[in-house]
Amino acid sequence: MTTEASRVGLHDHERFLRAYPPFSALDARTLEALVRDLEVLYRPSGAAFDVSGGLFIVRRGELSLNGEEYSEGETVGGGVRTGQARALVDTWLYVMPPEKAAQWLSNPTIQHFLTSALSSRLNQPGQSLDLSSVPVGDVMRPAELAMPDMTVQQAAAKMREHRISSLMVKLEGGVFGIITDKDLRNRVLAEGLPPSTLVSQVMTVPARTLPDEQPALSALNFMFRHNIRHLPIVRGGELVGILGTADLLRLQTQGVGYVVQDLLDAEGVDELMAYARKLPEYTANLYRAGQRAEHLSRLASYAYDALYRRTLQLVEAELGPAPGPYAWVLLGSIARREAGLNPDQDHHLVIADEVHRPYFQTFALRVEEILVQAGLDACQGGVMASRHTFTLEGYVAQMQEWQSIPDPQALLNVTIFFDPRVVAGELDVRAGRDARLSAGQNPSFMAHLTRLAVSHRPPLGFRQRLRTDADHALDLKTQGLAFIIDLARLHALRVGEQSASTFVRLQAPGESLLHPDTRADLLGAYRYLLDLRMELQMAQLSSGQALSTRLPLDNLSGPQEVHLREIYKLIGRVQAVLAPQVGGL
Amino acid sequence: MTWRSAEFVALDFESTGMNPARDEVIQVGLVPLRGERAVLGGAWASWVRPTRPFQGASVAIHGLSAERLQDAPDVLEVRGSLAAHLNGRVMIAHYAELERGFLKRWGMKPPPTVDTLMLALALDGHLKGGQTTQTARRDAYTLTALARRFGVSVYGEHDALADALITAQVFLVIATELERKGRASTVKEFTRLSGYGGGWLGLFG
Repeated sequence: MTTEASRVGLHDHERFLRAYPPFSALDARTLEALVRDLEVLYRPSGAAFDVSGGLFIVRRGELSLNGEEYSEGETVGGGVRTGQARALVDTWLYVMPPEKAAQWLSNPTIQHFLTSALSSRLNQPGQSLDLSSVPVGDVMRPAELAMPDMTVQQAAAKMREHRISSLMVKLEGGVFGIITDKDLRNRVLAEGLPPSTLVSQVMTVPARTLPDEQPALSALNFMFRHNIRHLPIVRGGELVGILGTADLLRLQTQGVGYVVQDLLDAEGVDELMAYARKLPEYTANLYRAGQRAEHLSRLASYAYDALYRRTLQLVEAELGPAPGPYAWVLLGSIARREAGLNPDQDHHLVIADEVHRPYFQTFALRVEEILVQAGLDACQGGVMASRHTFTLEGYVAQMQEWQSIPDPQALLNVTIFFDPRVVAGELDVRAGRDARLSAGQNPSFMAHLTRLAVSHRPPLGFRQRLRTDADHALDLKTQGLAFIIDLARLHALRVGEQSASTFVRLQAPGESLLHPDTRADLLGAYRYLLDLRMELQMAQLSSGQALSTRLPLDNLSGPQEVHLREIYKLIGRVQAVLAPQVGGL
Repeated sequence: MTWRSAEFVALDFESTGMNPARDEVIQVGLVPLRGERAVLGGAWASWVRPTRPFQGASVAIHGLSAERLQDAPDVLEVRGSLAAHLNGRVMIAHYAELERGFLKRWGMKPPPTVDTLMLALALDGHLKGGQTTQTARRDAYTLTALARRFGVSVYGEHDALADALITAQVFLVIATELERKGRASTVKEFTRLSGYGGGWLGLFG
């Protein structure tokens, strides 16, 4: 019997449960009914009890079950986490007796929480479009055509009429040309050509095209790689539409898309830096708008790519054209497209010929200087192009040398070189990639790398409590994301996945020491940690603090602490499985 | 009968004062215990309509207005429900003299009683031959102090149901501890330690 007088007395129990998953997802009425099906039980330190029937929620204290520890707000039992539990300290529990639990276990929220893998529990479905799954055909716009014998004036008028910035030109043999507003400016006006100039004289031909079934993300990558902003979309040789970079970015956002364009168009270093300094705030705004950190980091990475590309162009303009082809290779979080609000500079340079080194030395130093001023701190480990410029042969030799290093600790500082992404340059670096990926077939190197990945333990201390340094904070980078990045790298090398992205790596098919379910869990954990880092840095940004990845434990809510402990337990389990396979620690 | 298989009910009265002969109960709260488990679904509470106006001071303590209480069920009605909840169960209260006094005032026969105050004193060795020793500090044995000591959340003070729930939890810790120390494990032993186990009650322990 529920009376107004008795609701007051049970309120505390509802309030407690509301702070923790899965109860946090229940509506008030359901939660009130659930509390009425609970019993309160005390178990003194050392007491053993069976948690096979019913549900058990720790109200206060700590218990151990099957070698794992559960504390305040954590739920065991439910036919999933069952066995003999033992109270590690004096512990208060809520118990839902089996006859009541049967009904609640059919509640989708509770059932999902208990039975689903960690990955899906940590990941509520996102609301935004995912560029990696949407085909370009769904987001392109109709293309407008120009005739090759049209004058540029007619073409400009047509662009104005349709409020577009490019026209396609259909040529013989299924080839297309393209003319853009930028061409009109750079190739006509700036060159002093008359309005009567024909389109065929100034258009770009042939235009690069992409089939319409490609995912939007591939289109975006393609456009960045080839430095183009208007991409004709074809189906079986027929032109079906056109896609602009800004269209793609605006699809998800109201911000980064514009800033990417602004960065690419920046007239000089000062303008470039001014735009670059807005990036953290732009990204933060998107997070406020409800995007997950995973998507934001990916979007923001296009802005960082644009920043790099434009910086390289501006420095080439300052120093004169490069004497030969090169590849500017990003490393670290921007390479993975998983940066927070304050990514470092991590990169190296591959050049075609040793004789070009003096030019590229000056080039790299100047690029780094501009980027520092744009807000990208120098890499603390000094992994930057000015100190790491390889010829392609030198790069291949270096990769082979690292793969023969007998000491895992010596590898610690070079693992970053195994997460590369070329951001600019024309040099063909496939030989380097092959040398890098061959590491996956080198058993002793892989064993070293595995030992390294398991030697760094998650910060769980006594009774699997979060263990912190003297400042009572955790570093979400070194004591969180890095664990999973290391494991993803192992898997990627083993199966020959060349992407630097932790997401792509963990989803790459193929056999490695990591079971697919484990990889799915790690992916969910990684996504959660990215969100946690984003929340931390948002708070730092709005309170004017320096951006860092150190999370004061006092800032963690109860449920966040539960999730974090669960993630660390997962990493601990994975490490415990891997360690014996490489001869222990 | 061992306490783990007994049926209890933890009871708390909020009243206008400490004198059952003169003061009035304004709220009743209780929660049943099935052995070592407090059953939240059985929790019950009720306001009680006063039979005469009471002084301002208690209004302040309970945060209740006389008007609100005027709409509450009267003693007769509450007494009927309460009797059903107490029937066949051992009562747990903190300083049970008060609850027992009010029950008698309402013409109800107090059930066999376990007093968490007396059990706490016994647990700490402050009870000798039914008398409290001089060494016990009074403020260490309030319900709130014991709750804090045993890791029981304290909330909604001066709410009869919240206090009944806290009393139930305090009892669970003390009973576990007394049993672990070999001091008491049956209902009879608990009621005797509480000072209500003498006489004829002992025959039914």
